[in-house]
Amino acid sequence: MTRNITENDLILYFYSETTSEISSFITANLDKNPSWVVLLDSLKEVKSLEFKNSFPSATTEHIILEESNIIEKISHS
Amino acid sequence: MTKTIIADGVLIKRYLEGNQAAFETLLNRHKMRIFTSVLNIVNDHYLAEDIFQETFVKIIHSIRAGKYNHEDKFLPWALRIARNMAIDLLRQKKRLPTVVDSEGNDIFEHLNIFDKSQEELHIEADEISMLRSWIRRLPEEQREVLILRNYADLSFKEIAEITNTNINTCIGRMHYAVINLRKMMEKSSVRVK
Repeated sequence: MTRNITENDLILYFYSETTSEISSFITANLDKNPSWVVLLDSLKEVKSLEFKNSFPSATTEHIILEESNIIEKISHS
Repeated sequence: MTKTIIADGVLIKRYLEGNQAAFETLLNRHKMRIFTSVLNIVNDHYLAEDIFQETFVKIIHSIRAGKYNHEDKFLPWALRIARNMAIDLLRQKKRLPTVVDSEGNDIFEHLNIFDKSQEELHIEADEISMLRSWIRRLPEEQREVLILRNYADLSFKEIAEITNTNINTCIGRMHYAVINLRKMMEKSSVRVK
């Protein structure tokens, strides 16, 4: 099977969002295409960078919960 | 004993039936992912708090008005609202008059510089801070796709819907984000796992 694999195909492959047909083709031909491996390694490297989880302040959460409660009470009165 | 996770759609239904705890569960489930995504996109903690609050107020009103029809796709829906809210608030912020000090400098700029320098103090020692500083340097559109795909774990299709673009545009932005991040990593001589 001959297929023209684009960078978009490789990115979708990396995130498991491509079709099974393209996915199988890429997997089977990785060894013959070092440029694909370079891009996939870059994606892997960037993906492995960890984001620091952040949370809203307790005050913000409190305001939201108050709002949800007020609206809920109005709706049921 | 395994704990059953109640789907978002079910929690919303229960909240509509008067169950306040269901809303609290929904908020607790998604607050970290939504807040961190917003914070990384706008790079301003106070603005992120405002956007987060306004987003959830809008979510509450939309749910109560019966406008939620996304089944269990709550997170992409909430992130779309947050993104639109961020655009609106950033536009408003740009329209605000500048407050200057006796030397004609914008005092809020000074505050930002102060905040940044405080944060910069930790960057050398903290790889996560370094990542945030790299992400900050990415063009806004690339930063947005990177955060929504790698952190919020949305698909490119969902990101395209949120950002009103097409999938190929999103993938292209991701590609450039990766290229730019690699360059920054190489410059900093930082290797990651």
